[in-house]
Amino acid sequence: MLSPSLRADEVSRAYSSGLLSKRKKTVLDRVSLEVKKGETLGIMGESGTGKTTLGKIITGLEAPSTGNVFYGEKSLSRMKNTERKRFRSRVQMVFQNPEGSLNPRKKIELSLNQVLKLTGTPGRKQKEALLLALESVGLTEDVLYRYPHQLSGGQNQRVVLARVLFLQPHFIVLDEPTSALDMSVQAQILHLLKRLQRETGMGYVFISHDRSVVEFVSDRIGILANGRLHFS
Amino acid sequence: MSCLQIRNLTVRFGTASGPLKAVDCVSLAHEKEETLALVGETGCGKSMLGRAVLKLLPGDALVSGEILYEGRNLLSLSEKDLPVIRGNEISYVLQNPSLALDPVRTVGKQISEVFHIHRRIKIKDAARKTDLLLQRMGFSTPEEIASLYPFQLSEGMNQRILIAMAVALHPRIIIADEPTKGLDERLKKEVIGELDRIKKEKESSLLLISHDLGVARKLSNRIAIMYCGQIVEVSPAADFFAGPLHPYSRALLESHPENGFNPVPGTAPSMIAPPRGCRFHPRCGRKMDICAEKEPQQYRKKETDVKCFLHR
Amino acid sequence: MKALSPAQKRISGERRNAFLLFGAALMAFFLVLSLFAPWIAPRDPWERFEPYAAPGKEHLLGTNDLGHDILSELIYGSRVSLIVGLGASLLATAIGLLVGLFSGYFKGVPDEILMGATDIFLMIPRIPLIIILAAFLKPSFWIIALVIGLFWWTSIARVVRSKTIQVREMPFVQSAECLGFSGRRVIFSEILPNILHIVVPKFMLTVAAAMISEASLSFIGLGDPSMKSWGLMLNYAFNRGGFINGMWWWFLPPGICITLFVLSIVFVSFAIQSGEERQMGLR
Repeated sequence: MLSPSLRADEVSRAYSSGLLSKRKKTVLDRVSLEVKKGETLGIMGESGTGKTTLGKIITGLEAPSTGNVFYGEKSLSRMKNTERKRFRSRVQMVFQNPEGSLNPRKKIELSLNQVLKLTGTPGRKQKEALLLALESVGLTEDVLYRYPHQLSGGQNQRVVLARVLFLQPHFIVLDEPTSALDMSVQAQILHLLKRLQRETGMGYVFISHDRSVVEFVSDRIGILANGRLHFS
Repeated sequence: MSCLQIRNLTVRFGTASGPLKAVDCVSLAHEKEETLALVGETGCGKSMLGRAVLKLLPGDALVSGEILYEGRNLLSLSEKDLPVIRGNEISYVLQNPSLALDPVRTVGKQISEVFHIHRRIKIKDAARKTDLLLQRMGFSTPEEIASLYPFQLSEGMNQRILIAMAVALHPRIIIADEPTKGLDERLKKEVIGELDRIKKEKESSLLLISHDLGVARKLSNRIAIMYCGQIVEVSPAADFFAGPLHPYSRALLESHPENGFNPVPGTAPSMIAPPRGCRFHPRCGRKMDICAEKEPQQYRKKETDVKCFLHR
Repeated sequence: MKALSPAQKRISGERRNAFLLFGAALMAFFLVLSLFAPWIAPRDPWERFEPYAAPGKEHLLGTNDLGHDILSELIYGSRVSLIVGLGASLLATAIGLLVGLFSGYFKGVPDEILMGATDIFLMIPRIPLIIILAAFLKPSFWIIALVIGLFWWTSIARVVRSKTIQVREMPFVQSAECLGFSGRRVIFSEILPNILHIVVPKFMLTVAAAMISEASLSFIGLGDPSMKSWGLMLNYAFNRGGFINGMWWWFLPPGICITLFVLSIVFVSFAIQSGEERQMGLR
């Protein structure tokens, strides 16, 4: 059986301002897209065009006003709790601000362990799994004992990736993952993402305003403008 | 003729794990009316260098060396004399425009304040000057913009407001700290265009601090590359982009989008315990035995100063 | 941007430390008094001696109208203040935290309901209600602690709610949700640690406020006469001839104690809060 694809079908998102006002702000207008495992769909657009909203809708963190998101044949809105849970682990999201993505009050080890526990890894194997995860994203053990503000942006982003990888997702939606990073660090993270994709066969939805970055990583590119998504 | 001469500047912090030299014995000259780009990765000390010029360092920083501006050592100026220079003759454009502006005052008031405080211009006249300035910065409705608060304006607009505040008094030197960080393509272009226009119009010198060589390329005459608290290469822009001499400069250039996103191998070194000898040698593809033992001095190759044994 | 000279930075740190030290020392002093009252007090505060005695060798602070040793009363009085203060505050903070967290996190209908409840509680006039309750129930200090706690939670709930709403939007909370943590887990594991720095000072200030409330209630006669409390001492001093006869050793010490205990708590909470602020600002 083919692995399920992640699909958005005529997704719209509108906000109404004020309780009684009829004014509606349409952020997304009947957007459709599809990603398969192993490929990278790039989504380009300027800041504030609704790219993040689209990312959140695809990941199920936000509900669309109209339209549906499908994982395989199942629509997100129709999923039961157990199916929803499985969807959660299959589709993950990485946000723009790496340091903000980790709880500032927790050491890296704790942040990672809490997710590791979700996977049901037995206690004695946890340290081993942690070290393996760090290695796969190019980090050393000493990172475990620090707080997010003591690490660089690049290191934090790697920790975020390591954490997401514990759940062995099929798809990762990346919202401007390198925009806050230096040029040189950006290059490192982009290569890391490509390597991880080769090794695990994940599909990416890569959202960015940076044309050169999107072109570098994506197999297909869609441009989000005025709420509509156009494919070239 | 240099308007700013930095000599043997060291900025040191005491940390729990030992002294950290954010800027390690750096000497740099900034010529009149040139745009000098100070490029390096986050944490290499470039921001500290910029802030040291105006003594805007954190309270626990220990500074030594000299920063000569028109014959005076800025580092020895008292807190009384410095405000005359800050904003007036040397101005600083901060990162993060939305955070750098006062959220509870209109942008117009904030710009007028610059005129009022430094030139003792009356509020009414300052308001007029503000409108003129905003108009020159490309805002078609200056009165309207002046009455808005920072949160009502976009990031790009706020960045232009910050730049406006920095150039209001025709300073001799503008220090711009990562003016394009986090901005998208369009905004980046806008800000670069803005800075370009200003330096031509005002005949100011611009010290551009950035991690982005692409931005440096568009604006600067000379490039200085900073690594782990030290300047490793200073070169005229044209020569630099034709072929950088220092292996780190080359690797940095290679990591940029136009050149294929080739990452610089290895990881950034600790500033508390930097590598012995040449600080870049653990990551250098062309290292020699001597690189691990002795620290290279600066060698001159035509118009370029480079700190690398390869160019002995 | 102003650069603080090293000297300036040190002073603010020193001043903060001074508050902390002084406040903590005072607090510790009163805590010891209340915990070890039976061993510290020179006499049993309920034992009768010669009434209205002036301070002397036998009774350092004299005796009250019933002949009880005032100094012993004072020492035992710290217990009531502490119990009511802590008890009321714990109750208020617990309720306020839960209401604020759930309200701020889940938004929508639960938020409306909880905030509605908060508004209702805020509207009820406290002192009249306490007086009515005291008239119908036996005025024991547990009741007082309960009533104070049941009314003070509202301000904590509001503060917690707005901070929760703020923290809720931060990427690491969204990440936690995305990674599959349950709502409850997110609230207690991700959000709570990031609002504690606001809650702890508020908790301490509530202790202080509750202490003053108890003292006030006791002073106007709604207190628990079966326990020695500073407020009650003030009540008796005023109503049984202490004030008129200028017996400062009777009415001044309880007042000073209330003031000092509350002050010590305020100092410590101020030091904690400014310490947190500095930590967050410096980063």
